[in-house]
Amino acid sequence: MTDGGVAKSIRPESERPAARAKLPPVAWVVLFMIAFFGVTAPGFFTVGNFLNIMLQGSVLLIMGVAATFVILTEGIDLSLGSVLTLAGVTAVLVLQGGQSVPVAVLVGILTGAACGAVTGGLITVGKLPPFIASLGMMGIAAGFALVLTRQGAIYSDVPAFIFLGEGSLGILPMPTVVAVLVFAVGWVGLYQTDFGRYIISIGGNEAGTRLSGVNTAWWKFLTYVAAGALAALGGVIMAARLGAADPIVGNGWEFDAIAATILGGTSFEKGNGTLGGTVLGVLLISILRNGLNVVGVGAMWQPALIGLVIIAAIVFDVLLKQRGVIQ
Amino acid sequence: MTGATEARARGWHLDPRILYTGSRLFVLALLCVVMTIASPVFLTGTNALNVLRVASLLVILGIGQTIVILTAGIDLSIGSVLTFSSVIAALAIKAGVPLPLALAAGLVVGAALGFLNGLMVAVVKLPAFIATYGMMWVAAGFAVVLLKGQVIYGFEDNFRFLGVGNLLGVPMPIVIMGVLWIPSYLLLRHTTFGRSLYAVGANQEAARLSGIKKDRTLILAYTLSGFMAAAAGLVFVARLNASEAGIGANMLLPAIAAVVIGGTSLFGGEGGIVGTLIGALIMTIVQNGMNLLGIESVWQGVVLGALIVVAVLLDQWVRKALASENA
Repeated sequence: MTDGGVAKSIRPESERPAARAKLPPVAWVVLFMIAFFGVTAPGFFTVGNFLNIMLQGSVLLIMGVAATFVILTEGIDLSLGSVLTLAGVTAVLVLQGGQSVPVAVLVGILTGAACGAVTGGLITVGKLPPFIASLGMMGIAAGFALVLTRQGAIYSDVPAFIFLGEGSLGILPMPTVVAVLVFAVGWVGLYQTDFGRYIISIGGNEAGTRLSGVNTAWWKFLTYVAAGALAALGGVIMAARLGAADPIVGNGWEFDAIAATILGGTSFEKGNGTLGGTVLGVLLISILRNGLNVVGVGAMWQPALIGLVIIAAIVFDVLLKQRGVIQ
Repeated sequence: MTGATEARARGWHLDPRILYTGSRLFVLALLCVVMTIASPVFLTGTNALNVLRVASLLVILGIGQTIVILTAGIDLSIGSVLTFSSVIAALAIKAGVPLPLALAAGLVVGAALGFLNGLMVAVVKLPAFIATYGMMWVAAGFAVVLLKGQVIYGFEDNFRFLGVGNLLGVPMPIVIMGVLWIPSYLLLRHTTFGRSLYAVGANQEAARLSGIKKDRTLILAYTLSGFMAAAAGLVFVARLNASEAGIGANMLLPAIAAVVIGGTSLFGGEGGIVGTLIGALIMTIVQNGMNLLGIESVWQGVVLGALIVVAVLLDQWVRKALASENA
């Protein structure tokens, strides 16, 4: 197929990105943080700790892939964190009902896909702004999670389920294996299929894409369904890791996922961005969290500091881009 | 359509603004009738004052949110700003700072956080939902840090008066609501700033070209929203007689719902705080009704999320119908 390259090839030669290989700024930040924590925290440079970072970053990477797909269409999904919570709850409830692990995982993922379908339907058919549709879904999903759990954590210790969160394949923790698979499927979906091409095209120019005969509403709808399903997968893995579904476990995860996407270079307008960049954004946030832990910054300080760093990074990123300092 | 044309020919044309407000008053009246039938205690003087007193917090928050939404923006940080600024005031009071100074500190901090939101939206040009969403997590994080995981409680009577006192038989929260609502109404309807808010929301580019200071208008709008959130926080803490990190968390959805139900368009430029006052009353009666009817509070997130979505859908549908009728 050649049409995927159309948008690029019509740009004049002078506007093309410089051909020489250049690391994106977020990669420098990640390298700097690794160096900084490597020097200041003795326990940082150990295989165990790197595995730890990968484990902690796994669910965030799955969420980041979801957020990237949505943001590439110039949308936003603020419900991803609550959907993560709700999917964990439904999966654990199904397990408690005596069903097998595959059924539980499937029900969890379908829960998320259903939430995504409602959000996507409200956006494409109801023509609601994405932030308000997903804000409504955030309230609904979080509310259902509270209702279903009767406001407390619910538990399951089925070994096959726990394996999804605690087990490992060789040296790699299972959540990381799943996250890598999600990334691979997401990459193929985004760069090798019509779905991905339409998503990128919708973000670049929705009206133009629609006028050229693409059913943009359908593909946008599918994007939210996929994002909901991915957030749900993240929720199932989280529940498997904790052996429990907690009704507020997902609070704020959408913020980290959106932040990882934006820090990874995806802009919230014009549909520019890459999944590879999101991996870097996920690494940045995960290393920051891990590093603060290793350095001994208290749990109480972490949300405030991490939020501040993320917002500052986004602001600097946008300001530097506007002034043409970075691509 | 012919009916409308006929009506107009006979000189009966209804101003859409009156129609909007009228339809909301009708919903409010209907709710009151339904509640009176469903629950014998609804239409008692005590309950009516109670509804108004509870609504006052929502109205104060809603004034700020309306001002921001009129500019086609959104302020997702109001709950956290409420928490953070009330923690500042509570700490100041406990440290022995004179009450007026402590209150002023809370209000100034709230306004300052709003100012930062405004800078991010107007100058950095972040989408409002990203900027204020970041602020939401940062302010919530720092509130936790300031409180060190504790609850501050047991305040002096002078401060508590703001939440539980009466002025000529009227509960103080209602008095404060009036003191904030009336100037805000005049500000929106009768000042250049008010008109520029509507102009910026209706069409940012046209507003800029016609000489309106867009950036200044936006920054002031978000500053006012932060100020209102802080004011609501002070009243709330005075009423609870306690300041803790979670008090603002459940404030965001009801405040947005009140504004949207009140008929302010999420796309900016249309609406006002008369509608928000009615919307807040509708919201409060729905919540009050759920309590009176014995519906568990855990359902409230679900109801609120659904309510927001349905309200926006209805609003868009009515606007579309009106627009096609007028065309």
